Amino acid sequence: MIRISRRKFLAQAAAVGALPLLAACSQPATPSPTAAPKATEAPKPAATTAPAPAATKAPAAAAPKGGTLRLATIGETPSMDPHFTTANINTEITAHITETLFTYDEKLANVPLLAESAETSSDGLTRTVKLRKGIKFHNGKEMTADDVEASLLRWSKMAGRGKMLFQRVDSLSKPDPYTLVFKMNARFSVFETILSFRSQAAVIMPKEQVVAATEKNQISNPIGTGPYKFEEWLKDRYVRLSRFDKYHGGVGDKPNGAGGKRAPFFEELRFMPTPDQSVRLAGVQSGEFDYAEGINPDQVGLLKDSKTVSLVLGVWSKCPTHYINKKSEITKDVKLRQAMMAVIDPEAALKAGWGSPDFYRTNGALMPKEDGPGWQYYTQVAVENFNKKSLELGKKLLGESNYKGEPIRYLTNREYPNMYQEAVVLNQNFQALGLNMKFEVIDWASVVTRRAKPEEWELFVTWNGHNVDPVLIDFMDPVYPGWWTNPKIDALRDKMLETLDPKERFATWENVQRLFYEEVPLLKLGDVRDVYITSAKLKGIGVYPAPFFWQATMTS
Amino acid sequence: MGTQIIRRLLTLVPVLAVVAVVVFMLIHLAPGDPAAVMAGNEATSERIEQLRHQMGLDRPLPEQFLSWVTSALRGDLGESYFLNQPVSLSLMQRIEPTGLLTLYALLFSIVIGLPAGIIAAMNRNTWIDRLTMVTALGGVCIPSFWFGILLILFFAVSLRWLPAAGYVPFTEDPLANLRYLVMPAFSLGLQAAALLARVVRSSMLEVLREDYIRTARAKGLRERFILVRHAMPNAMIPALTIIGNSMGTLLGGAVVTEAVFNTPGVGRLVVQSVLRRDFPVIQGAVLTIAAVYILVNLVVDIAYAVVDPRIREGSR
Repeated sequence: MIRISRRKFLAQAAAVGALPLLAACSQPATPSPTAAPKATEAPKPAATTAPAPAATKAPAAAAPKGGTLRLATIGETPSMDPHFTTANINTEITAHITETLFTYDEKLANVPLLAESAETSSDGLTRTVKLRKGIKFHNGKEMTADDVEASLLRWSKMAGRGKMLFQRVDSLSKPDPYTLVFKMNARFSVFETILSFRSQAAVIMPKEQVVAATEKNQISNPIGTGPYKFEEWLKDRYVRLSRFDKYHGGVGDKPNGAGGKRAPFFEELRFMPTPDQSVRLAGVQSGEFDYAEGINPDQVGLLKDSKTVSLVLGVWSKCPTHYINKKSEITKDVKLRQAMMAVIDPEAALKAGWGSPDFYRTNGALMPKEDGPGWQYYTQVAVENFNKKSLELGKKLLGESNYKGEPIRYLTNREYPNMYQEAVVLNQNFQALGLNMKFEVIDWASVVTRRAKPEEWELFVTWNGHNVDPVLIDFMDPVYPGWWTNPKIDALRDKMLETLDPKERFATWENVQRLFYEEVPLLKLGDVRDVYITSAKLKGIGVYPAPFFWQATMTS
Repeated sequence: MGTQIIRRLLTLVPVLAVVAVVVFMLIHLAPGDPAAVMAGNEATSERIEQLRHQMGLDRPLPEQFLSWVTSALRGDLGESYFLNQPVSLSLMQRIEPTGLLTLYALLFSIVIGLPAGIIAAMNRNTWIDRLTMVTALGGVCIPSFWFGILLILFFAVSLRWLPAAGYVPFTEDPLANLRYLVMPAFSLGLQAAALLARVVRSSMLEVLREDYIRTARAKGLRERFILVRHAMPNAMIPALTIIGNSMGTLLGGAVVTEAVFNTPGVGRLVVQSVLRRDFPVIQGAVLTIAAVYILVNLVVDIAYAVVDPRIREGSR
């Protein structure tokens, strides 16, 4: 029998025990939790035309094609079905799998994607959409008018925008496999815009899949025509997409916003839900992720000098909005709403919420001035009523109102810190005016439930996405909480929807903005944009309508 | 002993019934609509109503409760609204990360806490004792999420030795699994280790003052022998209580730690499900955690009996 001293035994046991730990620490940092990038796999020849990225300059030297792009997203998608939900994260993932008939170019105007062309009859009541030929779905089948019809019909039963379009469609016919003819019962100015939308989008999937799902069942493995195929969804871990080798490659020979040529570089995309902001940030810093979104502007300052992390700014795609309930007995009073508008300090609220002017700009016009969806409708009409910061005027207007000190319930939340901070500042403005504010901090899910009930609130804070067509922005919707509906605005809205002439539409929009400052249906503070952080090697991510990566490359 | 175990197992039934009712009432009475969360921020109210109907949320509460309870009694915890999969499957997929995280954290706490307490007791009133106890006090006071972030900044961001976040299943790659769980387990286990060190120290000091220890010393036994054979077994009872209780605390702490390290475990599932208002998952997860908690306590009680014959005798 071999004798071993206790001291020797303990020393050896400790060494054995420490082995896994040492091994764990001495491994090189694995770039992916599940699979290393496949950079060493057979490199494909580089594209003859260097893909011009949408948000940053074209890379000087691109690494061989391939590899896995690891994307830290703000959370899990509620569904993989693009017709099912308006959740941003669903848009972000499914925009790589499925495609719409139209999309947006770099000037944020509508351009064909799966459609080849669209024509409108002289009376505006017949829309003819020609489809591109030879477009393959991921299952190998060619896309035809049957698939488009089935997809649009399902979408029309699920999405608000779909209902809006199909209320105006009398019949939809297919004279040949590549043509669809919409006979409309009214002119509809936003036909192509609605079909370009990426939120609960009118995406085209094979008829068989769409018919089997109906509008009641979610599609969990969408089959599309997009640059990436759906592979697997491990809930709360990742969604994995792989490059579609028979992808049609988009339109034309150079990228143009979300349209134009599309040349996917990465073999695989992995969307990894990472709800904690600091983890997303640390993940990109440590090389664990290549991209992270939903970064708090306060944190961005720390990264400006980083050599390993890059910042990518989005377009001015959102506007912070504080909705006023026009069904409430208290706030249906126009003078009270005007008094609120007179006293607010939008600059202070935006600074509190968004930190640096890099991410916000004060803007009284309803649409962004430039570099944001709907910029074509920017106008200064009636903007003199914005940013008054006048307590004197506010008190005068309040005196003319019927307000008698009733409590005003202001709903906010802490899940979106910028909303909370903005509301804190405006709440102080309203208190200074002499309003009896009841500031309620609840969670976001509760805000969404309560804002739908007119008897439960007077004010709530959110942000709305700007839209390439202003009539489609949320506050123009008469049933959106806040309920801006009366004969004047309803008539203007209808006119915007029916007028096809751009000049006439612009003049109508000016009237909308004028009415906005007369009636103050809500308080809009300005425009904001998102910031994304990426590995310094990642170039060319697109940012609108959602972050997209089919033009992104990894430099060596 | 057997009767006692059966009796304890039977108490599971009323406890779980109470938990079921309380959880169901709490989550359904709180504001927040799962259909609205599913439909997204820009959904129309018509769409939200359509979904509410499809999800059965427009049925009266007692009817919803009854249908859930009858399914649960058959072992069916329902279907997650958000994840679109059975709750039992969602839980099964997340038990491994939480189980391993808790286990590693417990091992950390024992490996660090136990020797630290013994060393401090052996060197009482010296600088070693003071240093150990001040460190332990710090360990108890430091919030695990903050410590976790510090670990990430140091080991993942600065040194790049360990991954900042994520998870690899043990079955896929045991070593990678360890790499992903080392930091979370350490940050989670630190508090338990500190507590254990303090308890072991005071318990050891108490035992070392006992007559039989003095007798052993008088017999001329070596100090190490006295410590290992006589003092430690007797000082272990309070330590066992702490270790047992730690299981519950660690399971609870795993909720925060899993959020910090993005570990796809039961804790993160519960937190996310609360935010998503995924009622079936919250109900199923809380019921399961309650059952696990009771069972762990039972195991600890059995371990007492194994270690201490007096308890074994008393239970007869």
